[in-house]
Amino acid sequence: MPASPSGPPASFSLAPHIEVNGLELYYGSVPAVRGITFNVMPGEQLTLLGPSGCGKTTTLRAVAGLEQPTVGEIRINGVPVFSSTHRINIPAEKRGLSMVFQSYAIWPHMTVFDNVAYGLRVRKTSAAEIMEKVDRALEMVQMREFTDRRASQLSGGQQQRVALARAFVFQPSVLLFDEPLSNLDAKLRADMRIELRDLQHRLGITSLYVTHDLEEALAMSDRIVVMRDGLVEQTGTPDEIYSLPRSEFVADFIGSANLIRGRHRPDLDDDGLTALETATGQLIYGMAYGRMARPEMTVSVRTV
Amino acid sequence: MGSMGSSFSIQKIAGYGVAAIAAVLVLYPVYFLLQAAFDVGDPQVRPPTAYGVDNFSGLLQYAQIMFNTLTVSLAATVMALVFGSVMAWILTRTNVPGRNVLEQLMVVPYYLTPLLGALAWSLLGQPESGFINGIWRALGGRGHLIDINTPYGIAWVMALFEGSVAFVMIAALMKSMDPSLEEASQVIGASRIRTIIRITLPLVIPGILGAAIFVFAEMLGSFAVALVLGLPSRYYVITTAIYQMIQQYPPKIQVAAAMGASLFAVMFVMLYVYRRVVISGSYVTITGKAFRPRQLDVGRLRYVLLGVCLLYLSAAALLPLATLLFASLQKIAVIFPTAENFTLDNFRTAMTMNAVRSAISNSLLLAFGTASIGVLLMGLLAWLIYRSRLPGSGLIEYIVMFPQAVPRLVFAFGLMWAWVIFPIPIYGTLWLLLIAYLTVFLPLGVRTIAGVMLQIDKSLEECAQMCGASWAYRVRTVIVPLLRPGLVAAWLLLFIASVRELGASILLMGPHSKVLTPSIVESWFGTSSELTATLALIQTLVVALAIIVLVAVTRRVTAQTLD
Repeated sequence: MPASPSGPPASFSLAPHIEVNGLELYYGSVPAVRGITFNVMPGEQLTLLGPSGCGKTTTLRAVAGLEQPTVGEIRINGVPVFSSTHRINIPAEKRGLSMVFQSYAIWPHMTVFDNVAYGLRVRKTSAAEIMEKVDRALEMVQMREFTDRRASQLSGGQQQRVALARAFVFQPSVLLFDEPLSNLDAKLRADMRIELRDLQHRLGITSLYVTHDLEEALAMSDRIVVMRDGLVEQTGTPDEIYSLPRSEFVADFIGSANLIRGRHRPDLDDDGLTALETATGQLIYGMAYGRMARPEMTVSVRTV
Repeated sequence: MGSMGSSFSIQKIAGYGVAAIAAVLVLYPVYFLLQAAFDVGDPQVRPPTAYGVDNFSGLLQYAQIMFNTLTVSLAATVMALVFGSVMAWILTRTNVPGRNVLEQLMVVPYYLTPLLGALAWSLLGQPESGFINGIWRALGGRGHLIDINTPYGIAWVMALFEGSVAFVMIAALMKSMDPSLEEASQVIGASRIRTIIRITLPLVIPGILGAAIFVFAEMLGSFAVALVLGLPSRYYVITTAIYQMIQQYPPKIQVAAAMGASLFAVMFVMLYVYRRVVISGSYVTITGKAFRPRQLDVGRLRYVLLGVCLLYLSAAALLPLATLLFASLQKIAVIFPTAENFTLDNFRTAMTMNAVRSAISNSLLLAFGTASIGVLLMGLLAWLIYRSRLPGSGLIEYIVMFPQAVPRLVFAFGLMWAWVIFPIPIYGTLWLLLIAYLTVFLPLGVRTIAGVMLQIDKSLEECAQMCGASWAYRVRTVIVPLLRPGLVAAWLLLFIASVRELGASILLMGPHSKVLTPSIVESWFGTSSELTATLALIQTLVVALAIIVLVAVTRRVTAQTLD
C-alpha cells in the first residue's frame, strides 16, 4: 500500500517525522501486523484506530523499539531506526522517543519528582536544570503540589498526569501514546482528552496515538489510520474517515451507521448520484465520491 | 548506529553469560553421571575404556532394594496424602477453632527437616531404648510397642514431614475451588453427601492425583530418614544403597551411577507426568483466583477435629523437638532420668569441640556465600527466562529446573565424579560444596525470584527504556528496587536451604571442609545420640532465626506496599 493518499495538510510541508514502510510483525507464525505504511508529519497528531487485536499497539511498540518487526522499515527524522533489509535495529533507549503507557507505569518506589526527573537524570542534566524542568512540567499538568508524594499515593488521573509530565519533560522529538486514557472513568477521560490535545498543541510535539475509542480519535487527531487484522483500512482526517468511509468495516466501526446492501442501477444514475436498488425494490440515491460503483454495493446512512 | 548484532550487547553478554554458567553447573555433572553409568571398562581407568548397558542389566540383582524403595515410598505417599488432605480439609473447609494459627503452624514440620524427625523418632521408637517403648514397659507392657527401624517406621517419619508439603498443595487446591460450584448443586436440590460425591470429589481428584505423583517422586529421592532409620537394620533404599556403594571399599562407582541414572529417569518421568496432570487435569478449579471457601459448621465435632490437628502437629513438630531437647540435657538419654543424669555438658562440648565449631562456621560461611552469589545468579537467570526476549530462554528454563528431578545425592555423585578429575583442585574444599549448592538450589532460587518478577508490570521497565535508560541503568534504578522483596526472600530461603543441606554435602565434604548437617549424621553413627540431639537443636536454632528474619522482612515489605 502506498503512503497516505490524502497527503499532509499545507502547514506541514516538511519531510515526515516518522515513516513506517511495509511493516510486518509475526509472533512465531502468527501475524500481528501484515504490512502497514504511514507517515507522521512534524507536529502532527496521528492516531492508529481499530478494534482490539488489529495490530495498532504492536505497530506503536515497533516504532518505540519495544517489539522487533519481521519485515519493513521505520525512519525517524529520516534516519532509519529499523530496517529488515539493512539489518538495522536501534534499541528503544537510543531512538530519542518517549511514550505514555496504558498502565501509566509510574514507578511505585519513587516520588512524583523522581519519576518525572528520571529521563533528565539519564541524560545527565544538572541538578538545577532538573529542578526547573520538572517544576515546569508538573506545572503544565497541574501536579505541582504533589511533587514529594509517593507515586503509590496518587489516584488514577493523577498518575496519568505524572506519566505525561515524565514523558515530555526531556523534550523528546516524538511522543507515543498507548491507549493512555482507557483506564480512566468516562468523565475524567473526556476532560483529559481536551487537556491532552491542548498540551500537544502547546508543545508542538509530533505524536503517534493508539486508541480503540472512536470519539477520542475523532476529537484529538489531525489524521487517523483505521486498522483491521494487521492491515490499514483507511487513512484520512477525522472528517474524511467519518463522512467518507471507504469500506463497510470503516463505516460500521466509525459510529453506528445503517448499512444498506443492494444492486447498482446505472440506468437510473442521476446527476452525480448513484442509484441502488434494494432486495425489496426500493431505490436509494447516494454519493460515490469518485469511487467506481460495482454491481453489488452498500450505502452507508448516518443520521447527524 | 547500531546493528542488530551489537545493539543489546551488555544485556546479551550478561544474559548468555549466566545462561552458560547455569548450563555448565547442571549439565557437567549429569554428563559425568551418565558416563560412569555406561562405563563397563576397568573402574580404575578414566576416561572409560568401554561403554555398554551391563551396569543397568546388573541392577536386577538389587531387586530387593528396588522393592524396599517402592514399599517405603508407596506407604509414605499414602500416609502423607492422608495427613495432607485431612489437615487441608479441616483447615480450609470447617469451622475448627484457631484455624489461622494452625494453618501457620503447618509449615513448621517442613522447616524442621526429615533428618531432625528421624533422629527424634529414633530416640522415641527404637525397640530397646526408645522412650515410647520405655513408657510401655513401665506401664506393664512386654517387649516393645513400636519399632521405628522398620520399613513402616521409615515411611511413617517420611510421611509426617512430607505431609506438610502435601497439605500446602491440597489446601491451595481447596482454596481455589469456586464455592458456587457446590452451591449450584445444592440449589438444584442435591443433598450434602450427593454434592460431595458428585461435585466436590471429581473437582479435587486431579489435583490430589498431581500431589500424589509429586510426593511419590520426592519420596523416591529422599535420603535422610532411610539413612538414619534403615542403616541400623541394614534396610536399604535406592538412595542409601548408592551412598553405601560409593562409601565402601572398593567403591562400586559404575553400579551406583547406573542406579542413580535410573532413579533420575524415573523421577524425571514422574515430574513430567505431574506437570501434565497439573496443566491438563485440573479443569475447573485452578483459575488463579482465590475464593473464600464455604465452611461447614461441624458443631461439637470441631473439638475432635482440633484434636486431630494437634495430634499431627505434635507428632511432626512438638514431640520431635521436645525429645531432642530432653535427650540433649542428659548424660545418657533415658526416659526416666535421675536428677544427676541432667547436664549441660553436651551444649558445652558442642560449642567447644573444634570439629563442631568449624562445621558450624563452615556451614554459616557457605550459606552466606550460596545465598549472596545465588541471588545474583538466579536473579539474572529469572530475568533472562521470564523477561528478556533473548532467543533460547525456554531452553534455559528447562535446564535450570532440571535439578528438581535429580535427587541431590545423585547430583552430588555426578559432581564428585566430574570434579575429581578437574585440573583445579577444588575437590574436598568448600568451593565444591558452593558449586553443588548453587546447582541444586537453582530451581528454588529462580522460582522464588520469578514469582515476584512476574508480578511487576512489564511496562515499568519499558518505560525506563523509553526514557532513554540503558539496560544497566534500568536494572539499577528500576528492576532491582522493585524486586527487592523477592531478592531478600530468595536470599533467606537459600541460606536456610544451605544450612539444612544433607544429600549433596554428605558426599562432597572433605575432611577439612566439614559442614553441619552431615556432621550431625556422622555424630549419630559415630559418637553419642545426646551430642547429636544437641547439634540438631543448634541447627534448628540457626534456621529458626533465619525464618524469623524472613517473616519480619516479608511483613515489613508487605506493610510498605500497602501504605
